[in-house]
Amino acid sequence: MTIIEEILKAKTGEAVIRNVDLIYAHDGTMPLIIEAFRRVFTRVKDPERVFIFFDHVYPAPTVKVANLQREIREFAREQGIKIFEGYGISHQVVPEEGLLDGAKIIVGADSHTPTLGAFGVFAVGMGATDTAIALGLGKTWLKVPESVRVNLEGKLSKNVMAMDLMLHLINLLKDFDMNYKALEFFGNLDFPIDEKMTIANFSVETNAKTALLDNGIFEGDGNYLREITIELGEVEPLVALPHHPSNVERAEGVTQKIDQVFIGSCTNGRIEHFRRVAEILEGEKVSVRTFIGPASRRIYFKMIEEGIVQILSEAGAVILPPGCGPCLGRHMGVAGDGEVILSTTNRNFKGRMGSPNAEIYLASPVTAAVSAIYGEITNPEDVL
Amino acid sequence: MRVWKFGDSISTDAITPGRYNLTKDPQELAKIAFIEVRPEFSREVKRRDVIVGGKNFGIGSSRESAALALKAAGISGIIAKSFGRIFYRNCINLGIPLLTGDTDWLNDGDEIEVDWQSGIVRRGKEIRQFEPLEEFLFEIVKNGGIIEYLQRRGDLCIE
Repeated sequence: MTIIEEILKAKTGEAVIRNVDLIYAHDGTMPLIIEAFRRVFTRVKDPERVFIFFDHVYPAPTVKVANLQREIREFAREQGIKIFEGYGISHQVVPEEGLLDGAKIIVGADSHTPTLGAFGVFAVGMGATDTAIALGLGKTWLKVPESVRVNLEGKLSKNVMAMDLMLHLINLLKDFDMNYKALEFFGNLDFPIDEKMTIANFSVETNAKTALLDNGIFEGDGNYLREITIELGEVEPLVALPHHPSNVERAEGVTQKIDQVFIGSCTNGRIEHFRRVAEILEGEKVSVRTFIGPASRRIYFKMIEEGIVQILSEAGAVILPPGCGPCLGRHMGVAGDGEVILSTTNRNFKGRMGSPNAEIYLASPVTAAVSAIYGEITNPEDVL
Repeated sequence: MRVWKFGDSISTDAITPGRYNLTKDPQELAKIAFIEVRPEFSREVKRRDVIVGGKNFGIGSSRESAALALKAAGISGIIAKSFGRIFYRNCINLGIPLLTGDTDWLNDGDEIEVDWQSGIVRRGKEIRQFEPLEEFLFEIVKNGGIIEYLQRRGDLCIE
């Protein structure tokens, strides 16, 4: 069985209805969920298993947004659902606040819900109506996906991060249709949890339905659609060029001046990432505007405790409040016409971070940090 | 039915860009559909027109506003080589029929007839077979969406 077959207790290709152990949504997706919910339900089936996070556009930048957020608060109050305001990004806060609590099947109204696959659970992103139905019925229909098995061997070299590994993988899978399929990772998974979450998070960009990392309790000896082995020592610093995350080049070959750097998000905004960034920026100065987006308040606290906020501020970076930051182009560092952004986030689609005439490059926190110093995309191997 | 042809990897960011996507009103959403990649779309689209995409139509963000904007624009359905999976579910849930298959032979502006249940697409004398939705999914679409389906049947059913 694949890990997913074990969790869903069904065979690849079968469509099944399953109870959902944990359901969550955020300020961006909640308004349409409420709309769909009210058309057919009156009470949330199990409000104790439901959580709402304000992370996408928070604090509210406009009256329109503020009013949508008011509606969400009202709904949560009426249904007895807990809201997490100012805690940070849902995918980070769920495990951090102990909300996983043994959940194995998770539905999140956000496409990066598979981030939780780092904990060996089946977590899928769904749209508003699907989420509304999960809220009302406590269950959903799922098709058991085929899985691709990724075996990791060896160890990443010093300036290479999980983000580089994932850019490497998405490049390998470029001509392989990952739609409706899942990634399961085995082998040397000796990464800090912060990096494991990067692996699961970025898997979404291969078009995978979800991703899971083996946590030692699964057999994983099933029929895999395909097996891929990656020698970690051979992974180099990589960069995704506009306008797709699979448009990957070696950092070494890219010469590109940049206007703005963003280091953060549910992809690369955890303490391990900022430790690496602080090592690089300590005593240095950034030469382009640089925004730092901790994925959660707890990470922000840790950054203060460890002196990282001080180091990065002295280097000239601006520390943003915990949340999604400029990743989705609504606030806090929106890209202008013709600007070039280097970001540690997961999407560089045209128009994603602001102007459709902006260019977005994706890279690891280490590559982003050295590039912020030089004002152009820089291979960390050349300078560290 | 007029074909509106798009290329590969049209993301939900392209259908309803994040910074315009600050409303849940379907009519307002219809006005921003493809606002940057195809600004004339919302003005010129007619009821029952068909959207034709390449690979990975609707990838990216889970925002249902993308599917809702197209529904509100009045399109009769979407044909593509493959779909982003959340968008795929969102369309079914909103009652938008989908067909999967090779779309290279279809051009922008073509006039076609589509049988969404059987997957047959006609352009003049040309007839091609596409992969239609599975039966239980088409049942949802036929009801007008999963909410209407639940209102009628009271529970999920995949038989």
